[in-house]
Amino acid sequence: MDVELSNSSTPTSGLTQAMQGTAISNGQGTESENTSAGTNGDTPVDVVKTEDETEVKKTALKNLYEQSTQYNHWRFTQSGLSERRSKMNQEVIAAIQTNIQEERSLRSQQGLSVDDLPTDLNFLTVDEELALLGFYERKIVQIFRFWKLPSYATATAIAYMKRFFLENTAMDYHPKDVMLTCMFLARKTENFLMSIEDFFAVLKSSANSAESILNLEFLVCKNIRFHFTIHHPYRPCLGFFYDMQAVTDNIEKLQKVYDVALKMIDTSLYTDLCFLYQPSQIALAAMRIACREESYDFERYAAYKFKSTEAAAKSYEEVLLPILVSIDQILKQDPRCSEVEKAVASDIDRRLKLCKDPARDPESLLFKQRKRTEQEEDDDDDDDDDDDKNEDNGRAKRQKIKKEDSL
Amino acid sequence: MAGTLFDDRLFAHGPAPCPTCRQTLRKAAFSAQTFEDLSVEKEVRIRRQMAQKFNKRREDFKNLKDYNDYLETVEDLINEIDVETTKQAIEKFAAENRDLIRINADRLLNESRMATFRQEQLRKERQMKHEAYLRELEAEQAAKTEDRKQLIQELATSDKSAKTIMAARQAISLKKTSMRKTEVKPTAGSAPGSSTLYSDTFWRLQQQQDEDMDRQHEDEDMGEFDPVQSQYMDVDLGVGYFNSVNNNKAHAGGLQYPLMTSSMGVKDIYVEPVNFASLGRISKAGGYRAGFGYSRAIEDAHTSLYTPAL
Repeated sequence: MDVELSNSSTPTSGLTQAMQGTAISNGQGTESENTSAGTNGDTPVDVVKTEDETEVKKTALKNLYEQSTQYNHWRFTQSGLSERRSKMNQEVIAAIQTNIQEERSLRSQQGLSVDDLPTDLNFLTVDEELALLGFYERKIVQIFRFWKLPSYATATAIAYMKRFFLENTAMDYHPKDVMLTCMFLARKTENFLMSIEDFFAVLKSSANSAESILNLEFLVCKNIRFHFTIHHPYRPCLGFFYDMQAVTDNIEKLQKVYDVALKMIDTSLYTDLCFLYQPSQIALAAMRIACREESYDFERYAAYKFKSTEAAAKSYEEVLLPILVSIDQILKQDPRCSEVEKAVASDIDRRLKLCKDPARDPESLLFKQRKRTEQEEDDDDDDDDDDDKNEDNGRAKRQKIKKEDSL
Repeated sequence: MAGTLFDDRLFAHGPAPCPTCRQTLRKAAFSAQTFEDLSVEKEVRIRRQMAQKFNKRREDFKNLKDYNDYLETVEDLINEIDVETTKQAIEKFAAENRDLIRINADRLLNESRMATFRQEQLRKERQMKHEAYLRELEAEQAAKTEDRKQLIQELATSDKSAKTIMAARQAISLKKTSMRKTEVKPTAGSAPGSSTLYSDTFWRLQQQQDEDMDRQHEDEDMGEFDPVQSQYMDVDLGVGYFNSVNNNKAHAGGLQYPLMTSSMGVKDIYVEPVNFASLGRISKAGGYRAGFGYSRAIEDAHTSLYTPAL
C-alpha cells in the first residue's frame, strides 16, 4: 500500500505540520501508514491551488524540530567550530598574559617574589583543553550510570558542558566545577530532580561545597542561553528500529544491530556531531554502521525507504548518503572517540592550575587592586546620589541656608 | 522480685553461657512476648526479620507467575529446617539484590510516612469540622438571645402596638429560615488552604494506590484461565510480531520493543509504547494510547533527515 505524500492541502494531524515529511495518520496506531510513507526528500510545495483555482504562495510550515533552539542556534560548521575555539584560546591567553605582566609589576613594586607566575609554555592548546573536557565528560557518564539514569539525561548533561565550553575556555572555569553544575542542571531539566543536599552528599569528594555548585548554576544557564531542551539521537534511533521491522526477516539480529547503534550514539556524544548534524541523521548513520558491523543488510531498508522513486533515489544519493558517510568518518577518526588516559588528564589539569588567571585569583594583588578600584568607583557614585546621609553634606546644607539668609 | 529479674539481674555482667547447652546468650536477643502462643511469636519474629531482606513487590516482576514463584521460595526458606543452608541462601539473596532491597525499603518508608501524614490530615479535618459546627451553634445561640433582647426593647420603647411588632418579627424570621435552607453550606473541608495541604507526592501516592487496585482487579478477572494447563496468563509488554515486507499492515502495537541491553539504557517514556494493562485508569482517560510511543519515535526518526549540514 503506497501512501502518497501530502502534496495537497489535506490536513495532517499529529506533530509535524510540514508539507514534507511523513503523513501521520491520527495517532490511533495504524503504524503501517507510518512505516510505508517515507521521506523521499521531496521538496516542500510553495504554491498551492486554493478552492477558487487561484494560486497562492504558501510558505511551508516548519516541522517541530526546526523550530527548536537546537536547530536555530546551535549548528555550526566543522571549520567554524575550530576557528571559534582557537580564537577564544588565543584571546584568553593574551588576556592572561597581560594580567600576569601587571601582577608581576605589582609584586615587584611591593618587593614580593614573582617565581610562581607561569611562563608561556604552560598554557593549554585547544586540543589539550578538549582532551580534558573529554575526560570529565566520561566522568559524567560514570556517575549517571551509577544513578541508573537513562541515556538521554547523560547526553543532556554532556551537551550542556559542550555548549558552555563553546562560549568559555577551560582556563577561565575549571571543567570539574562546570561538570558538577551541568550534572545538577541536567537532572533538573530531564525531570530527575535531586536536591542539592543529596547531590552534594554523593559527590562530596569532587566538590568544594554545595554553594560552589549553585554559584555556577546561573552562569552555566546564561552561557547555554537558557536553551535547556536538547534533542538527542536516541529517539530517532528507536524510530528506525521500529521502521526497519517493516523489511526485516531476522528480528533478533535487528535487536543486536539496535544495541550496537546505541553504543555508537553513546560514543558520538563525545564528538562535535551534535553541532554539525541533525539527531535523526546521526541515528541513521549509527544504525548503518551497526548494520555493517553485525552484517545486517542496510541497503534493503534504504531501498525500501529512501529509493522508492527515481527522484527519491537521486536525492538520497546526493543529500543523505554523503552525510551518513561523513558521520561514519568522524566516528572512525575523531581522536575524541577514544578514552582519555587518567595520566594525560591529570597532567593537563596540573598545568591548568599553574596558568590560572591572576585577575580571578582572590589571593593575587591584581585581584585586590581591581576590587579596590571597583569599590572606589562605587563609592564615588554613591556620594553623588545620597547627600542626606553624609554628615559633611549636612554642614554644606546649613551653609547654603545661611547664604540664602544673608541674601 | 521476679518482675525485675530480667531487667536488673540476669545479664547484669554481660553475655553468659546457657547452663544446659553452653551457648552464649545476650540480653538483646530476648524480647517481650506479644502473642500468647509461643509458636506464633516465633513465626512472627522470623517473618519480620525475613521481610527486611525479602521485600520484593509485584511491580518488580514481569508476570504473576514469577512473583508467586518468588513468594514460594521465600516460604520455603522460612520453613526450612536446616539452619546453615538457610542462612547461606538468605545471605546470597541479600547480596545479589542489595539495591532492590534498599529501594523497596525506601518505598515502604515513604508509603508509611505518607499514610501517617494522611491520617493526620484526616484527623485535622475532622477536628476543624467539629470546631466549625460548635462555632455555628454558638453563633446561633448568640443571635437568638440578641433577637430576644431587641424584641423586648422594641416592645418597651416603640409606639406601635404589640401585634404589629410581633407580625413584623415573624415575617423576618420566616425569611431567614427559608434562606438558610436554600443556602449551600460550605463544609470545613473546602476551607481555603486545606486543599493545598495535600502535596504532589500525596496525589501521586493516591494515584499509585488506585493503580494497584486496578491491577488487582485485572489480575483477578483474567478470563481464559485454562485449568488443565495450570500456567499463569502473562500480561506482558508487547512482544508481538513484526511486519514482513509482504504484509504491510502491522497490528496496532505489534511492533517489537527492543530489549534493553544498551550500555546506558534508553528507557525514555516519551517514546515507550506502554502496554494497556499497566496503563492506569487516569492515563487512559487522559487519552493516551499505546500507539503514541511508536508514532513519536518514527516521527523523530524522519524529521530533518534531509537537512544538509551548514
